[in-house]
Amino acid sequence: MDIPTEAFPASLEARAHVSALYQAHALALVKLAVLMTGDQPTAEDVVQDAFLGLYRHWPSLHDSGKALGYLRSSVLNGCRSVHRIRFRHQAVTLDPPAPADSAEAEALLGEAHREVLAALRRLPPRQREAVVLRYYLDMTEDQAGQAMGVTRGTVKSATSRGLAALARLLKEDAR
Amino acid sequence: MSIEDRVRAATRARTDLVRDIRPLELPDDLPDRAVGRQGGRRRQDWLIPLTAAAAIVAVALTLVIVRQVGTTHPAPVTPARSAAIPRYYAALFNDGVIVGDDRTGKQVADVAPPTGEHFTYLTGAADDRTFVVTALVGRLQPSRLVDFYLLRITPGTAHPYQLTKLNIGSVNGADPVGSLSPDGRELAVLSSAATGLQAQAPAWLRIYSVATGALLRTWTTTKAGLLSLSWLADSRRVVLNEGIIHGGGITDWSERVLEVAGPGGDLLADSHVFFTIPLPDHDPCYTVRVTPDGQSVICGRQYNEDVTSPIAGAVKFTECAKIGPAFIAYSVRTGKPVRVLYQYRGSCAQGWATPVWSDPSGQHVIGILGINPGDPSKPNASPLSNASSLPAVGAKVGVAAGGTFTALRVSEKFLKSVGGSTGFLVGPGIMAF
Repeated sequence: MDIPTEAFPASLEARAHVSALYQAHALALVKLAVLMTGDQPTAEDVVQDAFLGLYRHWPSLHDSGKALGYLRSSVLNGCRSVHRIRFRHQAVTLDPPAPADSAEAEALLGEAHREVLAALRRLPPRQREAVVLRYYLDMTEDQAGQAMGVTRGTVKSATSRGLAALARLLKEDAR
Repeated sequence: MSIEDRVRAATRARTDLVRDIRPLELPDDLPDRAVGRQGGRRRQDWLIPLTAAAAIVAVALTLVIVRQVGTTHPAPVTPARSAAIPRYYAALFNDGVIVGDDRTGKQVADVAPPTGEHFTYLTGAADDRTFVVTALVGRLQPSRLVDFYLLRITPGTAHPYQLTKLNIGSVNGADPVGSLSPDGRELAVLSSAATGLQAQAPAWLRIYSVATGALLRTWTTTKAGLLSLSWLADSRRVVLNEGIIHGGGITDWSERVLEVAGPGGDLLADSHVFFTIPLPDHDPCYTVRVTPDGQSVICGRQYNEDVTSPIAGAVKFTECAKIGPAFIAYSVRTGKPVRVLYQYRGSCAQGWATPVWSDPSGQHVIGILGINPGDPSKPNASPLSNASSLPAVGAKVGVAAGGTFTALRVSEKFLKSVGGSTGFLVGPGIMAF
């Protein structure tokens, strides 16, 4: 059974790898982006852009094993951009300060969870990132620092401030 | 409850609602061409008024919920558009694992097991860089204490692999097998208190966190015949391969699906059978594998004297061309074969086909194909009883698709070790992509 092996063109290789990474990780990244942006269509857009960026830069990616780290950072960057655009949009149009979750999500989540998620959305982006990476993804401070592109000390202080702010917000809401 | 725990619970509850996402949209152009217009249109979408966006999400969620209620088949998982054949593989060899590049044929790493252990089973995540290896502690039978190791490979670097013992603790039981979720975050471990097909022996399915080793959930059963497991592409559902036992032997294969987000408990109550394939005497699927989208089952058909002749030892070489080893896709929805990915059509005394990887929809399958040509001058010579007098089995690893089998460049020493086996010994855990 002597059958020749086909060669794989570079663009097909990029497409093949990026597609495999999408299959493996896109859902988890969309979930992360939903927590950061508050709604799924926006989260999916952010994740699609991250994978598109990876595909474009694949030839210059020296270590494909770092692709997941690149994607996660890219998603977090994209979510920060969404927040900046919304903030500018809100300043011009006087829209409500934070996006509400979808009506269906609101209906399916219990009240306790809704309160926590609403409070999470009111945190500054860096604190929200730190809290989500630490307590949703269970990352260590080092891992979260790598994903956020900051030092471990910054993660520590952002987490601490974020948790304190959440505690304050949830206490206020309980009154 | 602490603030940290409240955050954990709330974020997980919210993300559990995220189940279906749209497929990846890559441009048709080569990666180095600018696609500014597409990117611009996507950024423009972020400024859509939030009320409209919320309405779209509400409708989408409603559709997802309606689709998933009242169906007995696993809801389809959105696959990536293109078939991506994984480049790197891990394979069991000489109690250790060899890692290779199937494009160049080069060996990436030769991983020896820790002292006193030997590697017995492999499973891989969807990135073809992350694997979990099952290691048997000691060699005494029936002792089956196993450890699990995470194997991460970084080809082309000074340290091409890292082997880390998972913080799970040793698992006891007969023939424990582990399967890594496609996202690499969870390990499902199936183990039972008794070997083989003994009835009423307790069995457990446990889900562990790969990052922390924490035991997340446990399901138990006393049902016999649960032999192997795999994950669907969404990393939410596990498929258990179940041999239906009649008269002391397996007469049918069933596939049983379980949502692992549940709290754990009774395995049978929390799962359901979504596919059954009978095993007629002349057309046995010796290995079956559910595709990642959950819509097809790949049958690895075997051929040997037991299935061709009522007289033990009488081999029908020409029958191999008609019902020889093959990779056949069955539809979960209809239960019927829908596609012969590849069938060997030469003469043989014995042959087997073991699928070890499938793309999301089962259009491309990577499998191990072994052929024992036998000796036509001795038509009554059984390959099983006269193995030492017959030519060695030729084994290949390749992609079965569209009626053809395209060999991948895999370690020759691994192929030789596999070629010395009968199909019964070449199970899906011998190799992972």
